[in-house]
Amino acid sequence: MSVNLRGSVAIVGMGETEVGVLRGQGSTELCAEAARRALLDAAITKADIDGLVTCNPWVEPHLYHAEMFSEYMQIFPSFCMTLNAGGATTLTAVLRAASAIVTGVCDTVLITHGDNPRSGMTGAETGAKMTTTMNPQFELPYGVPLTNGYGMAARAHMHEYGTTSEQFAQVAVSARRHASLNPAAEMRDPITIDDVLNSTVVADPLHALDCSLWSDGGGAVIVVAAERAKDFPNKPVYFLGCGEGHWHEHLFQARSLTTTAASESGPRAFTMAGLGPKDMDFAQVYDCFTPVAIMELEDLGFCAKGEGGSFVENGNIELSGTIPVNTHGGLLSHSHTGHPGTMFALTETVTQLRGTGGERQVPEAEVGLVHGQGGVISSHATLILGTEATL
Amino acid sequence: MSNKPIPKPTPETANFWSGCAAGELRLQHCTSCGHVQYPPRKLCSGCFSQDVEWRRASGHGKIRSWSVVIAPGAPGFEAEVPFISALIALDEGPTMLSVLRECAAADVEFEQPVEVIFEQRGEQYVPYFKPASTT
Repeated sequence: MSVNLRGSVAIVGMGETEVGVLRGQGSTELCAEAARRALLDAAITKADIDGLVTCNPWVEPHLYHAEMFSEYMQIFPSFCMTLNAGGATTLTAVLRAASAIVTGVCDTVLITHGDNPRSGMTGAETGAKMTTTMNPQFELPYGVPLTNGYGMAARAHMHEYGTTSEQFAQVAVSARRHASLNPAAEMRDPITIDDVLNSTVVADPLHALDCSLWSDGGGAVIVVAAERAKDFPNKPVYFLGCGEGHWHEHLFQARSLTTTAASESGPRAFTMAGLGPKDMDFAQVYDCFTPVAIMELEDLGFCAKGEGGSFVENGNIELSGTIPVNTHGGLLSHSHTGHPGTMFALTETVTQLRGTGGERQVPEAEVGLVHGQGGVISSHATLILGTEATL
Repeated sequence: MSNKPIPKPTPETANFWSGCAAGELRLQHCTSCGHVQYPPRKLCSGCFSQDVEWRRASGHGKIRSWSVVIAPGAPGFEAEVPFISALIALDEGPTMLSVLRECAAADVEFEQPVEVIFEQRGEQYVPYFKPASTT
């Protein structure tokens, strides 16, 4: 049996907290505040929620996080799940919410994430936490941080395809330009290629400005069946396709250092949507480090494999380009809140498709792609959303 | 005494670590499908057979990529930075994460031949690599 999820559900509410340094607000509070704002946006109450999906935060993790959170919010869902796919979590949550709604398990799903790794942990605590994802016998004894894993993948891409540090830097410059138009973004002062290249080398070939921010914040969306989508005050944004790809957890087990599982998650999402990369009006890709965005643009089919560097260099990812990328500023300049990071790429996608993006609005945006990645280029999920016109 | 992490062998990995203590790199070979795997597992990750046997590896490989570590990702390495993290494609097939020693960062190359060396860590010996001796 196969059920096509295309057009089956819609996002009818979204909420974002402030991002940056939010001292005194714990992960659970941020998760709740994001949920409160999403409920207000959808003009519903918590009593209407019968499906709940959360992700485990770094600062206040709980083995049964979604159950803990439903208790905190005093909501009593029939579908309750905690997901852990790093930066891919948010989009895997949307796919599971759609599946649960279509199969009649629940009607109204709240997906909410919040975390405060910036102010809730010391640098040493963050480092110690990061080591917990390493292979304890075959990675940890070398003292190599995750950032150098990304550095090695970046260097391999440079070697294999001739990609340059200037091209990596362009991703950060474009993200910052978009963030400068977004009042909610954490870092809004424009930067240049030279600024990136002159910033400290943290894990060669990666410079400090090739790396994402580290932030507190939370976000949430409300998902319901498409036939109910017009019962809510804001313009609905419809689920058109979603796909995942999971190839490894630890980088030394990767099938490739330069081609990611986005090359599978993307086609799966496009097939479900009946659309291709050229149909997208914008894309939010996972930019934890600048080279990752380039690899994903290639693997998702926005340019040929190996041509991502020249693609970003030629202005294609600007708001005025062929495929505006990370219109909110991305993890590089809007915020990187840990596992909730991709939620802001999702809420930005909803914002763009509602047409409420203000100065950063992509004109006549009808369909957009959002992509998340977890681990070290490990887990990938791609989601395609569209307006009613795309159904 | 350094406080660097010491690997804790499990029944599944004990043969690997006892090999390191004996000065040899050991890998599992599947006698059903020929797959060579690292890290060790009870089953062959190629065909899921239980026919995995330990063999001494050549200890040789080539650099797939590298990156210089300035801020270590675990305690105990503060005195060793900068050091060269590397992904090494072993001649038998699997890739290892390790650290390249006895080589300046500016001299590392893609496909550079390297060979295993061992560092004592508590009761264990951790496999590191250095540029292969020219023969």
